[in-house]
Amino acid sequence: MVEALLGNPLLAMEYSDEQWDRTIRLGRSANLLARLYQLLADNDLLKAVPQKAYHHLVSASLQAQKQRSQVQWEVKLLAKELQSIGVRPILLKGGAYIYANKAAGQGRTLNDIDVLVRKEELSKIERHLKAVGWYSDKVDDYDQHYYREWTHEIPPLIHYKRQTVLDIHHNIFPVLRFRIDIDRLMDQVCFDADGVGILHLYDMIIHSATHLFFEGEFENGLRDLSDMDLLFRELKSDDWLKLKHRAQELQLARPLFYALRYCRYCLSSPIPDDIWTAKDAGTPNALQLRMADILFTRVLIPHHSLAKQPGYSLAKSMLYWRGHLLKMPVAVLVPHLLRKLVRSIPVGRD
Amino acid sequence: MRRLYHPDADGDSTWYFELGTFTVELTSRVDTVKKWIPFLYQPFRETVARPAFIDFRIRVERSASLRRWVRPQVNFYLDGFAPFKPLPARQAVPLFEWGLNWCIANQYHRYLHFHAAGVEKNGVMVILPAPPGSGKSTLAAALMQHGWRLFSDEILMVEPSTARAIPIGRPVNLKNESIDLLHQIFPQAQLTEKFYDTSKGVVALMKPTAETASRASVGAMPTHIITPRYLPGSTLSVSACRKPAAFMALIGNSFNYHIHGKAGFDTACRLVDRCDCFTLEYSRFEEVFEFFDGLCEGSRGG
Repeated sequence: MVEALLGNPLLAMEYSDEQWDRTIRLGRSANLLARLYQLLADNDLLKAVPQKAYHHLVSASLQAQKQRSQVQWEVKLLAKELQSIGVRPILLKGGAYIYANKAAGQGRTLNDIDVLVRKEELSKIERHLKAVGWYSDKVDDYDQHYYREWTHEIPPLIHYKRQTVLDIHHNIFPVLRFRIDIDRLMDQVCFDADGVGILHLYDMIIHSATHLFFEGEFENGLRDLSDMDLLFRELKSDDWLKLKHRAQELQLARPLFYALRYCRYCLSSPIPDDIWTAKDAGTPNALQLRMADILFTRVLIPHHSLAKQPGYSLAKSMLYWRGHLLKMPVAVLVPHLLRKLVRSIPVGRD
Repeated sequence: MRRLYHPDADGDSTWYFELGTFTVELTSRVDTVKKWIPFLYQPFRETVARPAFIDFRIRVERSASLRRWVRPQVNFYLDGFAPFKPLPARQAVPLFEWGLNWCIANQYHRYLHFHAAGVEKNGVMVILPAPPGSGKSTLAAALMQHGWRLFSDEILMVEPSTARAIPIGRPVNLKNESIDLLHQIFPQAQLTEKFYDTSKGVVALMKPTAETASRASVGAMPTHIITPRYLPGSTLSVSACRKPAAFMALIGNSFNYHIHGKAGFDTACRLVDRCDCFTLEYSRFEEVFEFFDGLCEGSRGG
């Protein structure tokens, strides 16, 4: 229902009160209410929305706008802080869409600001930020070790006063399983006068796709898909092939394939037919594809009882394990999970 | 208010009620909820069988698992989402009330929400902004029993474009000594049982008066901003409050002022501009009533 509206906002004119009731519920659980508001506003369709539903859309939009100005302000402060030690941060995902004024930043809310920096600068950055008001609440030695050894980021930093959460990455995917050539990605970054970097549009899409289809969590899956849908809509006709080439160059053709497929399937994204049908390194074989369709279409939904299909829980846990296996070899994963299990058993506490 | 049973559910009751501009659905099988919610919300308008659009779908339900028998707990769900940790089962009714406050304060930004009580009589609409613990709920409950219409004892809603106050007229949340005190002074007041050991101490809820409930969709233009302070043993003292101080009292006690941005600032300015602003120290209700009734007469004369 939300998906249909995101794909074709004109449907708003025909929705009944009951349909709006369901749309608001689903949109809220998918964190897409503010985006829906924006889409309807852009198409001059807000007047078609019944009063009661309208107020919920406005509420979400006001909250998103507030966050938008907070993010812009926070990024400026961060860039200034890092400039003093000669570092220029690259924004990723929601923060980047908002800062770069992308359509995908409209009505976008986020929990943390993601930035990418060079690995060799990490410890310098961490030391400096901790001296100027940022702290990490992952104090446990094992957590610290886990982040540093096996992931592509350091434990989240939180600003003591503003409570902003900052995720600092040195790669876009855990480094263990396969190498993503991060230098190639950074080569195409554009920095503005404040020293804030934004990925090239192609790379933005490829990163978002990699994040969604290689990680194992889909809480905001539909929202991420909608981000990509909006990014796809920025492409001109001769961009599509270049995007595909870029994904192959970064060896990330598979997640791009899935992004194209499910954006078109779920949100009716305008993917050109030749791009849609062309086979390349990213195309899975027939069996993989059937499996992927069964699993991904079950989790790329608002996670609400109204939208869940039979097989939802199984698909969710299968994809969760797939995500873990993609990130870590079994020899690392098993001890890690055992450790987590042991630690989750409460000892001597009520 | 109408109560409907789900035909197939075992023991679940569902209520629909209209509170001012909100349509609320509550589903629960907890005994205290079944006992007290119909009592508290009885004066509100009946809704059609099943409203097409529901603003807040709430479920108050016992935790599953062993907790069902050992120190039972209740959870609050807003459309399947649990924003709070569970509370002891005995606190199910206050949990619903606090949860609904949270829904309005955090999810709904059509109006500016001030952490204030509001009462109205004969076109005199008084905003009582004050931090928790200053006795504003008690004062609002007393004024309601004295014949004033209650807008809210907790969240005063103001429409940004018009600066008009919008009532919700919910049950009043009374705490500790104020429960017995009000019961003594107003034997006709209808209260729930006491709920013990909550995070706010002993809590009881007061049913809104018929006047409050029957006009829950009629707004009013605020005329006074009065910051109350209960000072034991004092005689009533009223002093004029400078407008900037009244402005700060308003926005300093707001839930979503920051979300409304400039519209919030403009609305707070309009409120302070058009209202008479006072601070009020009191210990005896008779004196407070005399003062408030005086405000009404003043307005009729002028």
